Amino acid sequence: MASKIKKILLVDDDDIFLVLGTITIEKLFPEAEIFTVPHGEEALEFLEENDVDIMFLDLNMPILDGWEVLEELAKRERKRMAIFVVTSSIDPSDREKANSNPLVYDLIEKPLDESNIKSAIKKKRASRSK
Amino acid sequence: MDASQLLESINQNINEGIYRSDEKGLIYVNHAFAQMFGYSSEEEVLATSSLKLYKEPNVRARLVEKLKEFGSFENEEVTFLKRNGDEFYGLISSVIYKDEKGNTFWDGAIRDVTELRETSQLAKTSDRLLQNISKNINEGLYRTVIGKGVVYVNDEFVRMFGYNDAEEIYDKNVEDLYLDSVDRKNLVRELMMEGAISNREVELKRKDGTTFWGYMSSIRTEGEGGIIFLDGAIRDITKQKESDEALKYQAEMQKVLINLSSKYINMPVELMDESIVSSLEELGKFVNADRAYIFEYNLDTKFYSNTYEWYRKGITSALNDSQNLKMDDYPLLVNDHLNGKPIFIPDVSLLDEKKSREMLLAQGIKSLITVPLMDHNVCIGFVGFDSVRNFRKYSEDEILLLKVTAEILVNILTRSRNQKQMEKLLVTTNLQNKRLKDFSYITSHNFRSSVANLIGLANVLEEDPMNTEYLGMLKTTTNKLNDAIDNINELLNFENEVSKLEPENINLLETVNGVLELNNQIIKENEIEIKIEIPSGISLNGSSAYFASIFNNLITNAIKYGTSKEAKKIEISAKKLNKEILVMVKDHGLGIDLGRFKEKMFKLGSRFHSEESEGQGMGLFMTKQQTEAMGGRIDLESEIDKGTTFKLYFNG
Repeated sequence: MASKIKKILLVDDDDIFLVLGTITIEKLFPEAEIFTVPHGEEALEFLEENDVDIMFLDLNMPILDGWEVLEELAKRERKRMAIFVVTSSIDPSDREKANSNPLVYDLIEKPLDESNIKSAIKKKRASRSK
Repeated sequence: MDASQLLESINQNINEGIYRSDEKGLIYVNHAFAQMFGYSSEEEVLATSSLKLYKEPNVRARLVEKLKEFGSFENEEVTFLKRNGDEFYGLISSVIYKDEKGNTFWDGAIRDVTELRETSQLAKTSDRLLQNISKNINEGLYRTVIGKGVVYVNDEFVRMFGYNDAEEIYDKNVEDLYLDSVDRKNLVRELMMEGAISNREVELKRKDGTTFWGYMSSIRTEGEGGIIFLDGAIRDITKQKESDEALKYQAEMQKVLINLSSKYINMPVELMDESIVSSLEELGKFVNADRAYIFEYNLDTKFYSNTYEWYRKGITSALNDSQNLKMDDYPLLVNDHLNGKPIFIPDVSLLDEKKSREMLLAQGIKSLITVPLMDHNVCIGFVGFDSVRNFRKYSEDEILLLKVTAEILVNILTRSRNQKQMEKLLVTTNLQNKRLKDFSYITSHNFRSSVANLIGLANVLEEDPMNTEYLGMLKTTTNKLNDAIDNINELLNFENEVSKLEPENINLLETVNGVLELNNQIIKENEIEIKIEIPSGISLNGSSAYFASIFNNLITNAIKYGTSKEAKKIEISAKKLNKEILVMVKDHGLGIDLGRFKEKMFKLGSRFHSEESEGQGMGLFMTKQQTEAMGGRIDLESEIDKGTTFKLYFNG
């Protein structure tokens, strides 16, 4: 899988998270190019111009939040990508919403580290092979 | 034939006993006299002592006395004795004479009236009997003659119709004794056809014009020469009728009261308001009022308001004119209630107090009665009834019944109030729960994102312990965590304080100046120009801590997000509106796209400025909660590139 991953987008308004998340992802996908944007609106602008293989999307953001980004993407023609919702929310309705959204591969709880990214990907593969 | 012969012939041929007498006795009697007294001849009579002719011996002496005194007497009734001792009644008349020689004698005549007397005695007895009956019975008896009118009434009849004597009635037209002359015509027609009527209820009219209900029976009889008599009896049943009516009234009132008290058992609170109005309608119609209503007193603020009202078709509502009335302005309409007494005003225009009088007259009220609603000796309001079309008097019984009604209404009202309060409490509690739940998600989110960063930083610092960039991030993160904890305290305190909010009078200008003082440093650093237009007299009711927090939040937001290098002006102004006070905080910054963000503006956890990482989405949420907790509301206007204005409305 690692060989296929070329571009990864990280969307979060917390710049410390962006720094730490980038470090973590670099370790897992050393060959991938990693981009970061501070909120949903810039994420959509970025995706107009670029295709990415994986997007890590925060939910609670100013200007345009994670749900609004997903709504907008559902309307667009685009290349397939793996979207992981990343959040520190404990609101159970957020997990339900994520599970029922066809664009979302999985919900990952912060902190974002190598093990929870790996297990999310594994889970997705398992469900697809069934 | 000479004169004395003629006289003798007459004397002997008439039926009366003729006699001449002097002091010593009879001198002459005629034949009829002798026969009358049962003697065989006139001579035999003359030979008998005069005293023997009287049943009571002293009668002769009395009659002689009378003759001597008056010279004559006529038709004295005397009981005489016949020769055989039988009695008979005679009428005796006599004249006294004196002759030329000075001798006194008298002539007289006696008529036997025994038979006559017996018949008349009989007639007298039956007459008296009738009189007795007429006098002593409680019915008015009468006889009328068709074509002539009333010819006889008894004493009771006179009394019943309020006349001085029977003659007055005989002079009246019979129809004048009826309230409606048609009644009389119908009764006569029926009598002529049927011969009798019995037990008819008729409304009759007294001499003074007042009326009463009579129970009437009559028969038709025919006399000689085709005269038609209508004889009858009348009984005054006004009292009976009144007590019947009173009974009926009480039964109806009982029905109303039972309806009133049973209707509300197990009634859901949302139906109660409507039902109270329909109960007022029932009561209002029952006492024939034009409006029925409930007012509730607020003994803390000393104001009172009309909370429920029914009004008759064609009558105007007075509900809107009767809100937030000052109790002190209408002492005559209020004070007695506070002591548990009803207030009855038979004629509103005679009310002593100008303000009360004018208010009631403006509502068209002629008479009114209001009964206090007492909840354990505390007056919580009153139920009242207006009469607009007519003046209305209330009897003591009616007032008593209204008091019972009021007691039932108190129960209903307090139950309705309690249930409403409970439901309000439930809504508040649910809202509070929702707010706390939302809040706990947001704070835990804020905590977790900081903690997640701390874990990540710990990992990278392990590998690169001397990296100053990571150390700086560590500091930022711990500060953010600290802020999140402060926010928690603020919100928890808010929930506590809302429940025990003690309103005080806060001067707006002083509060705003205090907030500006606190932010003096940042204002100077950013060269912000603050313009204040707040009249010094404006004050607000509420918690001073909340006002300080609200203005601090709006002013620091304006400084942080509403100013730029070109636009450094912030205007804070206030003015009195009709019922509210409007406070505005205006900046000339970038503005907000309200089409996109208005809904989110006051939501917990919403943030709008990605550059400022310290925002936790708490500020405007708290500002809105605090404003609403004090009965105010918040709104905003904004135009992109022109600026934003926050508008706060508080009760004046």
